[in-house]
Amino acid sequence: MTIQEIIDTLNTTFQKLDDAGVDDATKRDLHILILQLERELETAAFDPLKDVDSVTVADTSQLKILSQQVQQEIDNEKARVQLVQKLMSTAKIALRAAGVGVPA
Amino acid sequence: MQSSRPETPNLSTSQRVLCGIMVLAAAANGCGTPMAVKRLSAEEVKAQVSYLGSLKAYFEVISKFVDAQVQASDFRIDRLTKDLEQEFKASAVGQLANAQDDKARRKVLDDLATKIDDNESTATQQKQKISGLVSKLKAKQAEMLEAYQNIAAAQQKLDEYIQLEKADDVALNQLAGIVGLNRDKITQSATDIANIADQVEKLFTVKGASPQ
Repeated sequence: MTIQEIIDTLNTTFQKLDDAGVDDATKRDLHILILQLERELETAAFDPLKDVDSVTVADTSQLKILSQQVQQEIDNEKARVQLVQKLMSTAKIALRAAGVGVPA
Repeated sequence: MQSSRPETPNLSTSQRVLCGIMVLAAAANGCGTPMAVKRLSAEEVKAQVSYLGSLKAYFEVISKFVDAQVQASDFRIDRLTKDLEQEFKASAVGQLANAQDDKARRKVLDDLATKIDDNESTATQQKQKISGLVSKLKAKQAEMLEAYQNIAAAQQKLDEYIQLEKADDVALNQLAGIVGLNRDKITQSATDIANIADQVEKLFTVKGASPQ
């Protein structure tokens, strides 16, 4: 039985007491119980959020470390490109000095 | 009329053939990162960045919705707490009317004070419980967002590497410039040579002879 079902049952009973003209401490206690349960229901409406804890999120800690390694490879590749360009430039100068026509 | 082609270097035929073979060998070994790969990588990064924006906007909407629900819930809890207090007071008034002496009246008033305190305390605890659960939700959303940001950042780093002009690209382009060949033609030539090699191999196989 849910809290809502309990509240509905108690409300029906309370209504019957009211219709019968009963107005004593028991009826007041019943009303207090209904109000307390209604307030409890407000809190219970958020209970599904308890399951949020069980939701696992992918561990991405390794990605940061591996990204740093890729950055290192990018820097290395840029250095290699610079070296190749320098070698090619030197080779062209040498070829031109040897009298070989090389495009700029 | 001047030709738009780059000036052909003054190399001997054998030197040109040698350079050509070197360039073709380089082309066959590594033609850098294919354009299709670069395009897919760039599009994937764009999609991930866009999705990250959607995720942020979605979580913001959810957070606003939950905050509104908490506000409404707090309002109802406060109203019910007041109603309960009224009931406790009405009940105490009835009990006071029936009290026989001061001691009994004192007990009724003490009980009322305790009930009001407990009532307030319960309401505060309930509101704190709701607030705690909502905080959990927001923390989980932040965790998910951070994880996705890390994934997108890693993909961006990979893309940076993929889009990079590699050393073999530079070498090949420079060599191609020296022997006066277009890079696309080199790649096409490498493909043509591979096709011819296949056909020659098939020819030998048909005749029942080994190409070796």
